[in-house]
Amino acid sequence: MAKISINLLPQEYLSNEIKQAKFHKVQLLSSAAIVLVAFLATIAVGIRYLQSQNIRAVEAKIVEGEEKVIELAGRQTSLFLIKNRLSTINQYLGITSKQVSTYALLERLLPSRIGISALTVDRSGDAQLVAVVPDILTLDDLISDLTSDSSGKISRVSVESLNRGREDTYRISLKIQTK
Amino acid sequence: MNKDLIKFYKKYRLFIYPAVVAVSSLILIIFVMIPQIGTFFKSARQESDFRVRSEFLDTKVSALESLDEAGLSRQVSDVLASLPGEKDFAGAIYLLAGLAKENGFTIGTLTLGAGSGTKSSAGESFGARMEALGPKSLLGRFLSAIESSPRLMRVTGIEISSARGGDTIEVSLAIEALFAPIPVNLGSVDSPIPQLSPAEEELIARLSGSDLPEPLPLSPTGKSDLFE
Repeated sequence: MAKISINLLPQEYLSNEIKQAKFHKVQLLSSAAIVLVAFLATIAVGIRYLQSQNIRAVEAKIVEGEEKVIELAGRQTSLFLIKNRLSTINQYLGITSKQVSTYALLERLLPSRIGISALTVDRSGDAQLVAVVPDILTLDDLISDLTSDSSGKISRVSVESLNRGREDTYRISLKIQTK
Repeated sequence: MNKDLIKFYKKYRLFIYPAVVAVSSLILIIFVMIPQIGTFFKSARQESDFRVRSEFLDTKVSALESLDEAGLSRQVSDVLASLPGEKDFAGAIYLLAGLAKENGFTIGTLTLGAGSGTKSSAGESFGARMEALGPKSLLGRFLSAIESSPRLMRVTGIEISSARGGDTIEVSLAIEALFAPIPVNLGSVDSPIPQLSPAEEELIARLSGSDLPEPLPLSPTGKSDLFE
């Protein structure tokens, strides 16, 4: 047998109940939302706090590191000085100057039979030679050795003066320009 | 008035309540969350930079601590003997006299500070003029010994004249001895430690093996009171 349901409450009360229920729902949702936002804001503040703590710790470590580096500044200065000097030393050490190269070249090219009266190698590496040559053949050798230098370091040989002396010796003054 | 307000609230509470919540949430978001999040990202970059610097300093400290202080000061002494910080007349005299003797030359006169010194990016130099008597056959070796000496010197002029006939010659050499003032800036806290290349290690070993006079002290020496 079917039940008969009779609503005896006034219509106004029913509408109030519905409104109340609706408000409770809205209230619940709103409260949940504000709690969530507050929670997130708290998390944000907490994370920032932890981060600033970390930064402070790292800063303290940096200060400690800087103090240690300052304590060891003597070693650092030594290293910089060594590096600075070595780069210059490396440019010069074991490098032969043009003057010494010219002298070594002439020492190799000049015939042993000639007598060197004077030899000058100037700042530009050019040489001035005054020599006593015993005979014409040696003189010829001297000129040809200098002019046919295989190393190609001599750019020009000019005879400044040539005198024939006693006992058939020759006194020659040469200007030798190098590259 | 209060009753009116309560009545107004009761009538519109369905809208007023969520509106108040929304405004409060917005205030929290705008004035708390957004600035905190913004600062977080900014500080995260700063923190990362700090960590990098801290690691760099840690590495630098351990590298500096691992260096042998006695070895370093020996190397400094060697490089300064090779390229002094100022004109080392005494060292140059000692060295040139030794080289001349080793190569059979007898020094007649040795003038230091002769001629005009040069100044370049690599350093400065002072001139020296040496007049000596010795065998012609050993001059090449003598010149080479001057230039290959660990104390940086260059021969800038050679004048030879035969002296007493035979192998003996009179030689006048113009020499430049290099020096370079000590740089003012020798690294800061943040500058990385210079690393020596294998070639530089070899060079310093070569300098260490040489017998050079000790560099002159960089501080002024002599009588503290000239009138004492």
